[in-house]
Amino acid sequence: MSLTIHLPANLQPATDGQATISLDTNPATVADLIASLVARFPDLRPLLLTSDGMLLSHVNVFVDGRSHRDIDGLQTSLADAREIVFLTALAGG
Amino acid sequence: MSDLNPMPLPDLTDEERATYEWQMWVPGFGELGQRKLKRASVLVSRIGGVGGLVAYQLAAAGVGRLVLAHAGNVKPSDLNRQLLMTHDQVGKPRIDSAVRRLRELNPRLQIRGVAENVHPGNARALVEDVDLVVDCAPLFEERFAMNDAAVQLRKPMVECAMYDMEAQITTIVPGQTPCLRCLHPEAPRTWTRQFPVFGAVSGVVACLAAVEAIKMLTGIGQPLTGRILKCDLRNMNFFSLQISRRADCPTCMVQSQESSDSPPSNCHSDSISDA
Ligand SMILES: [Zn+2]
Repeated sequence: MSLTIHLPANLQPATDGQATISLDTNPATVADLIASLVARFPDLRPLLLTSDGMLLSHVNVFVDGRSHRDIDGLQTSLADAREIVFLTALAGG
Repeated sequence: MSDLNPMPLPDLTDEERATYEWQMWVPGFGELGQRKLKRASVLVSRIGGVGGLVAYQLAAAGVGRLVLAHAGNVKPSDLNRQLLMTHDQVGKPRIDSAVRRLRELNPRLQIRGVAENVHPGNARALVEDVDLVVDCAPLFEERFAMNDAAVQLRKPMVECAMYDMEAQITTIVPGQTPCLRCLHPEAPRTWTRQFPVFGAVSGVVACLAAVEAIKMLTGIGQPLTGRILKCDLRNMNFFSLQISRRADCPTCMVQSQESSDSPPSNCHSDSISDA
């Protein structure tokens, strides 16, 4: 199953300006997804993770419209997932 | 939805009926909805690119009273998006420019202009003065101060923000929905006071926020409660995302202890190991 990942504007400088990334094969879990994204785009690391590898608290990962925090956290399975949306905190007013 | 304001509904004047005729044709709104707007009071935190348009739309719609909080003087760099500010007011207080523009649009509008930004020391008194809050501040410190006061006082708050060509909006109902700290417990360290913005983008989220305010004040439609609308205006992708309260949210915990509600548990470890 292919997976489409939507990244917010403030992460796109770390992904060569890509707003959307498509994967032909789904990672097993949200943790695996983040690890593979950070491996592919190293500049994403400080935008997503703390220095000790925790997901930053102002980053939410939505799996087909539901927050990973409301499913199984970083162990949320992506086996049947179609769409991932990263949501980060904004304050522009 | 129960009324946010316990005061009796005021009647409309003939002038008001003429002004609001076309919106009173909206099904489910009618003259009753217009009277609810006339009775209502709304606090808008900062009246810049987002808040200025929120205030303008609410003034146009006939909300009875606005409380506006914004410090500082008009700068040239405000003028690409802060549509309540004008060239002739550069160097003069923003709040004065905003009040003048709003009165030109709606001379019946009651306005309390506060030449301060929101902070923990004034948030509670500002929120106490109104039925509903629209949070449009450009700094997380101000947003968290407003969030905490709104939740403590059980006042609904429309939370709207933008960056670059993206916008986000949700409506917070204390005791029922997640609050700002449930969604984002901490501010990003990388957030800066200045950010890329077109006025058309801040205006989009402002108009969405004004729609939410009108719905909350009059009970029409389905507000953005328990979900956040993320708008990617660069690619025109819109996402409606479900959100829920965090069991460890300090703001909701205090409010829950006061009201003996308890938020749902949703704690998970957020540690990542490298691939
Ligand atoms: Zn909360």
